Amino acid sequence: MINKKNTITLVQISFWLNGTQKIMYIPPGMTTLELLNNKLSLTGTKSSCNEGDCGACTVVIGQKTGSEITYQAVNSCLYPAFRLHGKHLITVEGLAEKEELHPIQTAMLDEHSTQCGFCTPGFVMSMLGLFLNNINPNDEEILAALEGNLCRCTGYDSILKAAKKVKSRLKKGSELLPVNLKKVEVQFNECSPAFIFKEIENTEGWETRNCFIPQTLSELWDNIRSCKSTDTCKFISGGTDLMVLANIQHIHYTHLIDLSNLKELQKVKLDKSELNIGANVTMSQLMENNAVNEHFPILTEAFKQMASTQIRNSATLAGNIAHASPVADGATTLLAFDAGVILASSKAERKVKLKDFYKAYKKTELKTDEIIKSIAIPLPSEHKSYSGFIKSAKRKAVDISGVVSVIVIEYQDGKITRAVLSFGGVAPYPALAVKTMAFLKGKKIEEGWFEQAAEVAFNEFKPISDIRGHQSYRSILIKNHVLKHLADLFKEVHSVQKRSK
Amino acid sequence: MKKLPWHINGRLHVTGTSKFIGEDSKPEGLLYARFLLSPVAHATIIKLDVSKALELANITAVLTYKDVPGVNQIGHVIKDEPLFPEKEIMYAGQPLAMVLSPYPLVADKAVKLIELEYKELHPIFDIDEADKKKQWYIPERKIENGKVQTALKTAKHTLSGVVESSNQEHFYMETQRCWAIPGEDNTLTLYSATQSTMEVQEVMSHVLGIPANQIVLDVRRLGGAFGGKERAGTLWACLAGLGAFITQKPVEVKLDRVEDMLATGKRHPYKSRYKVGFDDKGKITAYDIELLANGGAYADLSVAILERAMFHAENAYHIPDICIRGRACRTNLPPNTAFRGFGAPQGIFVIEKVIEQIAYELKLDPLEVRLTNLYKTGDIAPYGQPIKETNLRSLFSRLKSISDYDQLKLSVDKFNGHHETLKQGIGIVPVKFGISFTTALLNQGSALIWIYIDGTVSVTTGGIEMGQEVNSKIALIVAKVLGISFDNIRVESSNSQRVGNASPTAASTGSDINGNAARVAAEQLRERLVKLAAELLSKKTNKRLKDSDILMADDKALVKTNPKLAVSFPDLIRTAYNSRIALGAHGYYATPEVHFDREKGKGHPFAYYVYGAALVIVEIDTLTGNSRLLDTYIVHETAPSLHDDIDRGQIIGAFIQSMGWCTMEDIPHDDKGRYLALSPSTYKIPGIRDLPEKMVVEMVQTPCKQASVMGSKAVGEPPFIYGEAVWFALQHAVQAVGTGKDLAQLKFPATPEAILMAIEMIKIKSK
Ligand SMILES: Cc1cc2nc3c(=O)[nH]c(=O)nc-3n(C[C@H](O)[C@H](O)[C@H](O)COP(=O)(O)OP(=O)(O)OC[C@H]3O[C@@H](n4cnc5c(N)ncnc54)[C@H](O)[C@@H]3O)c2cc1C
Ligand code: FES
Ligand code: FES
Repeated sequence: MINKKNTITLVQISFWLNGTQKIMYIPPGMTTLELLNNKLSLTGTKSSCNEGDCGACTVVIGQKTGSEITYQAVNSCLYPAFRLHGKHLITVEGLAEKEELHPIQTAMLDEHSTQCGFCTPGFVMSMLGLFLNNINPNDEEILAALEGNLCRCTGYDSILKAAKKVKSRLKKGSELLPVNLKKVEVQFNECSPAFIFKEIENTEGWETRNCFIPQTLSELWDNIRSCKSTDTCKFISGGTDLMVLANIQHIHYTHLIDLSNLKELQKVKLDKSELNIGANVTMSQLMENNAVNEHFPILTEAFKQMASTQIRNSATLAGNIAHASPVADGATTLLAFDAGVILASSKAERKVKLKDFYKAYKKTELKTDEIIKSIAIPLPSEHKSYSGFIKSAKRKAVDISGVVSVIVIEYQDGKITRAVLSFGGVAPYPALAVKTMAFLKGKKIEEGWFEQAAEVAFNEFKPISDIRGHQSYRSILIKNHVLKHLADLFKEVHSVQKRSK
Repeated sequence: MKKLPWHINGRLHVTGTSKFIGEDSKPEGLLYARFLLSPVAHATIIKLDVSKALELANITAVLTYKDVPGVNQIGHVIKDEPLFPEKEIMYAGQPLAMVLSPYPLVADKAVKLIELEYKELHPIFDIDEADKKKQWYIPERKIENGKVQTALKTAKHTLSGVVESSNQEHFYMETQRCWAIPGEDNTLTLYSATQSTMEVQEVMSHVLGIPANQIVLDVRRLGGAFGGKERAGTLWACLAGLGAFITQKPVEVKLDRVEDMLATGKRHPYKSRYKVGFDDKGKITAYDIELLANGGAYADLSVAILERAMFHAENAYHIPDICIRGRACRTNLPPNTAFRGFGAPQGIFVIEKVIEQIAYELKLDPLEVRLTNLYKTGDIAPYGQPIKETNLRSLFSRLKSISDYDQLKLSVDKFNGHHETLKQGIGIVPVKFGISFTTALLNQGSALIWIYIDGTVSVTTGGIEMGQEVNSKIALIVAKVLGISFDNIRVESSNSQRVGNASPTAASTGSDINGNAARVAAEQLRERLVKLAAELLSKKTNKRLKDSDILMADDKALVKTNPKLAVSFPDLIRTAYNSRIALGAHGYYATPEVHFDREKGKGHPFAYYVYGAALVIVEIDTLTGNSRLLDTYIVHETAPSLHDDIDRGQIIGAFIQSMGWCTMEDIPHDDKGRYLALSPSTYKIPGIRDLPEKMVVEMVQTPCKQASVMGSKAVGEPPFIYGEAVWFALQHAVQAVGTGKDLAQLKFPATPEAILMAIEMIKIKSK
């Protein structure tokens, strides 16, 4: 007899592991890393932090989206195992073909890029993710692909050299995947999307006992309705915030509702007045999106300075907004562009401006039965405009902001006609510097009052002290960010003027 | 150029098939250990009741100090550390109880059911408070030469000050772990993440009350250690061993990153007070220095680390009248422990800061002040060891020329003149690093070699492979001695049954000691084989060949004068076996000439020194405090290297790790003594974007009489010092912000926040 109180609903998944199909039942709370290490006895994928920050657990996921086949590096420690359904999981063990090493592996050996070896599989897989998408990356693209991997031994020099060596050895049309991995691509559609569930006794002690993987919004509403009051239900998109809370702070929910299969949330639409970003679109996808790059290059700049390639391959803006971190770079940037979120429940849809979305620390407009369906950013006006993004963190890459700020200025005849300035890391949630904005409006863009503006911003916020910076540091940064923004604005306006003369 | 062999286990690493601890197939019935860690730093335990935890289904055992069959003591040199505390909790994160279950998540739940009541005691975190309260593990240590007080009085100029450096988390990628497997007849095998098989074996035998020969240590490789598994692995190994011994089931102890960062010791923070006397040229005539170490809750290796800090207090400079005093203080932080450099970086940081201060006071180029004070061959170190061969001066000239120093200075000044919010700075630091364990008895090692019937070779040493590639070097040495190819050699796990009483793999001596032991073993085998080859080959010619006519090379034994006359290595081995010649050998090596009298503070603690120097250029943004590392030049003495790529990897790896210590790795604690940065999301170690924009590393390979195995020099720790150059470069960049009236007050580590606050101070002062 199964004790009803202590049961767990396993999910049956069907996926490919290094070219071989696997069908198995897994607990809904299991990560891909745990699946590999504990159930499949594949230990090449390492665990060193379990929170997306070290890259030792990097794997590559192959999948078919629409008609396109994509391969992306992700952190397996944050990747729910049930998400493997219908996908191809490629790990370090799958690359060598019998005795023949993969070109990435050979380059790593030639450059002596491994010392203790613990980080090595992760680097190999990040490089695979890179070269599968870009056979001829430039230096910046190589760094971006490897910034999410830590190595404590080598000092990276030899690893960087290996990546460059791979590039020099690859030719146009070089096949990066071994044949037995490549060949399963044709089967990518054959995997049935329907999930099968099975209830068993929860001997292993899992906290998350159930998951819903709706394919349509109406299924989603049904799923939400079926949650009992005793359940704790939580939406999961990229999982890059949620899984960290589960793995590190041991905050678990009895029911996970996975939004990532909802096709309705996967589109980016551009119309005359706004850009509408579906909640499921990942940061990596947005960085490649023409409309984003054309109308909001600063957003792309923000993404570049956010997290790592592995994280960006999963993370969504909706998650960034809903997580309501005071230092969310994405939300801070969107705030400056006066974006709004489209919130949807089974009953209704409504649009809330981001500036009205946050209520208090980690408190938002979102009701428990509501999701963010999409994000709407008004297109910039015809006026001349300038925008800037500054992030201050301890480390150059893969670090959370101490203070982040975004400025959007419209101007005419050398005068500011509209100014928006947003800050992260200085208040309980991403906030507008309303007083500073008022001060800026109507000012002539010439030096002399910049210090004053900075002072207004300085006095506008009382940041707190925490591990990412003391209050006094943050306060000085507020002031200096404004100075930097204004100096950049000045430079741009005057170089533009010079050019137009 | 001949292609150097790959990393001996590189193929396994890049294919993900190398096995770290706990990655072999799981043994039947494996139990997972979870711990109740103390929430506070200092307290008396009133109640520790595990009964509720035991009632939970699928809990095999919950162990506390009451379950220790032998002595509840894991201290090694100074016996002050219990496995589990009985009455007094000494640091936050200290393990108080261990839950064992076949299901790790269930064990987690049981931990929450353990009832702990305690009464908090006043915790000490501050070095000065501990020092004032005389919380020393041992009385003050002193090394003295000349009459420092008199010399200070007669000095033309004097300065005094306080210098602080902070702690550093090892952040080995593989966290602390151990598999303990019980065997027949009360034996126990520990697969432990330790740099010291002998210590774990000895301590475990005391804890369990069984003889050492019932405990087997086996260590294949570590996923990084950096000193953090020299002593700190012992606790976790003993906990696993205790669990396995009591339940008679295999036990896995594996800390997650948060537990590891919370509960394990770090690099020692130091606070030092100095007085220095010098002349107009900046020549230091007197140096009175007091080094205080924050040792944490138990002695661990703090005293030995302090000693090395003292041995390096004068770094590369000859100071005639000098007095070095050191005290290691007990506080309520996790026991601080060995970390690459072992105190030397902390000692050196002080004197380098003093040099900068002197240059600033006298308005001299800090590089010139360094040159003025450099050791020359024939000088004598404060503890009495003569400086036999030093190339410091030529290393400096090389550094100046590859960095085009004079031009560089001008261009930095020009840059700073032209830029308001960007400033550049140059930093220079030399190193003289003493090689040997300063505890002389540790300077010994053994190796065991077997040549199997097919001519392949198995080598075991006491050396632990942890990424420094001691195993690649050992294989190179054996290959060279036996004249066989690298690929025919396996270097095995370090196993206490094959090599007992192994000294820790530490103090950069891993290759010297274990490599030499392997060399000695291989030479014995070679002697036997050469003799046999001479006999065999004599039969093929009409001459009677002597042993000295034979050369072992290219997988053959051949006649030097007639290389065509040869016998292949496998054939030679088969013949040797058939002729009943022993094909196994044990090699033993003890480093000559090392001794030190702690009472007198005199002796010859080091076999030799390693020298080098680094120069870096940085650029800071004065509005954000963020910095960029522009060019880095390193000139480092390796003597003829066993493997250039390995040594280069050590130099760059150490430099980047040290740069992290000096600029971004910051791990404060709260008022309960709990560390606040407990994961890589808040504790930032350098990433790939922190590499300098240009890096020139020159290895000076000139032969040196004092060098060690096959003429090479140790390389693990000395280059760690170079990272300090980044800190000094940053200080110079900050200095460039103001009018130059006051020396920039930059904190350690020089995080963006520290840099920005130092700039603010300058701005306020110059207003
Ligand atoms: C190593 C690392 C580095 C990071 N660096 C940065 C950084 O530099 N800057 C930064 O801002 N962030 C950073 N993050 C945080 C994180 O990646 C982002 O906040 C990300 O945007 C979260 O998106 P997600 O889709 O992964 O969210 P999830 O983790 O899936 O969800 C986060 C929260 O949002 C809710 N949610 C998700 N989608 C919806 C929806 N459609 N409707 C309603 N609620 C929803 C979830 O229930 C959950 O509460 C980092 C994270 C990691 C692990
Ligand atoms: S284990 Fe560190 S990123 Fe996954
Ligand atoms: S090789 Fe050891 S962490 Fe990278």
